[in-house]
Amino acid sequence: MQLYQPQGFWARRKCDKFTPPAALRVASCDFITMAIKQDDIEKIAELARIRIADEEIGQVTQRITEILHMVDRLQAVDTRNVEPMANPLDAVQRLRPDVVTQGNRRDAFQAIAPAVENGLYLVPRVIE
Amino acid sequence: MHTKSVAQLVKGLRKRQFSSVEVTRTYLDRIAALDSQYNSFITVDEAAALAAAATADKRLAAGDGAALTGIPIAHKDIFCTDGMRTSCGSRMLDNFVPPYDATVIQRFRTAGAVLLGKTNMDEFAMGSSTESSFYGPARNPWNTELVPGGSSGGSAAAVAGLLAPAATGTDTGGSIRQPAAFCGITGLKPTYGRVSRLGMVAFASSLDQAGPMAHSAEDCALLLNIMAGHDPLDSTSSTAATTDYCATLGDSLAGLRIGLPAEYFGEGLDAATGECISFALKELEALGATLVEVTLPHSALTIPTYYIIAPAEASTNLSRFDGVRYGYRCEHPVDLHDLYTRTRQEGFGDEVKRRILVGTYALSAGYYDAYYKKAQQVRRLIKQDFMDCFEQVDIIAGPTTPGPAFALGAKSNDPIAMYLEDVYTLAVNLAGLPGMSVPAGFVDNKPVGLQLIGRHFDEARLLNVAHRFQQGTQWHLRTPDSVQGGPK
Repeated sequence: MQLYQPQGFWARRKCDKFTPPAALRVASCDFITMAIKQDDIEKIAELARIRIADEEIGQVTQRITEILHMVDRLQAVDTRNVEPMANPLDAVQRLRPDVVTQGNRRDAFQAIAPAVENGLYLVPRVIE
Repeated sequence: MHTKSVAQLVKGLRKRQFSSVEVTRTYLDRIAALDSQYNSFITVDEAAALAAAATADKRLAAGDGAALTGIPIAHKDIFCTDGMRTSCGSRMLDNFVPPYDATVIQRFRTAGAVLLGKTNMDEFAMGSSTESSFYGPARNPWNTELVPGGSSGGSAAAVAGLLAPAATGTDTGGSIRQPAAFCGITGLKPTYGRVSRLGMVAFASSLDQAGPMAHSAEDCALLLNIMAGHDPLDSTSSTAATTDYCATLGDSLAGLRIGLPAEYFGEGLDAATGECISFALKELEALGATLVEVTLPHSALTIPTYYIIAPAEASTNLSRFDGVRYGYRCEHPVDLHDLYTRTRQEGFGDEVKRRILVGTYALSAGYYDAYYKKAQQVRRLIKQDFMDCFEQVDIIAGPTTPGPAFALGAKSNDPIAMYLEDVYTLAVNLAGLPGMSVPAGFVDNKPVGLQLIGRHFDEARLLNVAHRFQQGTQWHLRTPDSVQGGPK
């Protein structure tokens, strides 16, 4: 792909002169995920309750490693005294009066379940 | 009929120049005739659409029409529709028929709109090409060898292919704006919390936002008037006052200050795309706006920040798909653990599983501070960049994407190359700002999108700028050759 070369209109605005501040020029950083192993992926998959076929685990490990390396550049950013932001408007959870506002629709909800009996969801036997 | 804007259809229906049944029939026939080449719809219920149109005609005849009475609208298949399958592009929800309407759907029904069908999308809205759909990829009407963008690629293709006058989409990291740019239509991602998320299948709850996709800013304003507003059933929906988004469309741009972030015009931007954007900016300058160079110094960090926060929230949201209460369940589970793990192995596609795993890792014990908390801190820095810019300027403008639509298959096996597609759009979601993509030219017959970014809750200003731009340009009126033929 040919890259955009600012000229005329743009050159006057000096958009091509931009260089990121030193703190953001991440040449190399401490990869905290330098050595993610297949074992680690298997543990994560277990936490996420996703089965991964044996023949796929190698490729999945490689892809996840690539993504984690890509996000690792954040480690180089100085975030001392920066409050984490959970909501883009810094909004807090609204509360409402503790009263019933929605009717009981159990039958409608259970009508779309894979298996129900007598108003209960059916799953394989858990306790022998 | 199919070349009329939503605004023109509203007027024609009011004057009884044609009926909603005629309009709806035209679009249904076009879908039947042409959608095999775009694959933009997942579900169309002709009988239900025509029944809704007939009801709309009765209301119109009685002089009882609401804002969009009789207008057929396509909805991304992420919005729950009472009694109609809502798949979210996933095998996991292939059999899911919601027992309720999303608030967005409910609002369109109340406004009299006809539900035309449910559009194709990347699975669980995770993607930038609509190639990860369980129902096969959607295709770009400008060239069916190209992707329509994603994740709202079905909505964009349906509007660009004149199979629907307008559609809804959702945008978590660019999923309205990027497909709008690739398909040559107008799309708006409102401020976080402006539109209710109730009944919209959740991907990343601190980023997700629904918005309109149509040919023009005027049509987007008509749709946003219906969609925007507080919903007591969504605790993150904003109580900030809405406005009539059509009322200020024609306002003058004299004195408007437009910020051009240096980071959006540097390395990585396709040359011809950059030229289109610079011409579009000259047009805005001619309309009275002043261009001001600004800087968003943390831009380089938006992709890593997003690819921690979005997967982390996705891994939490998607834990609900367990094969017990609704959706897919694997065959013959031997025990509960097998039921969970195999249902999720078989029900989710590769990209969704990848993001769940990355998110689970980022939230797991020992890594939470290094990943999730760190990303939340950098997210604040990214937002602060925008707040600093808005001290100097009224809106920010730049390209929506680094280049025009790419070929099907070009990036589907390289997740990180796909992630880079959203380099100019992700920050808007992280900061919770409203953003638009407006048609701004063509590169080799492939559309280019101009992105406009506004202050929180300043959708009216974005729509105003886009409308004035569209009054002076013709880009949004162009239609691809592939829409020829088919019912008119």
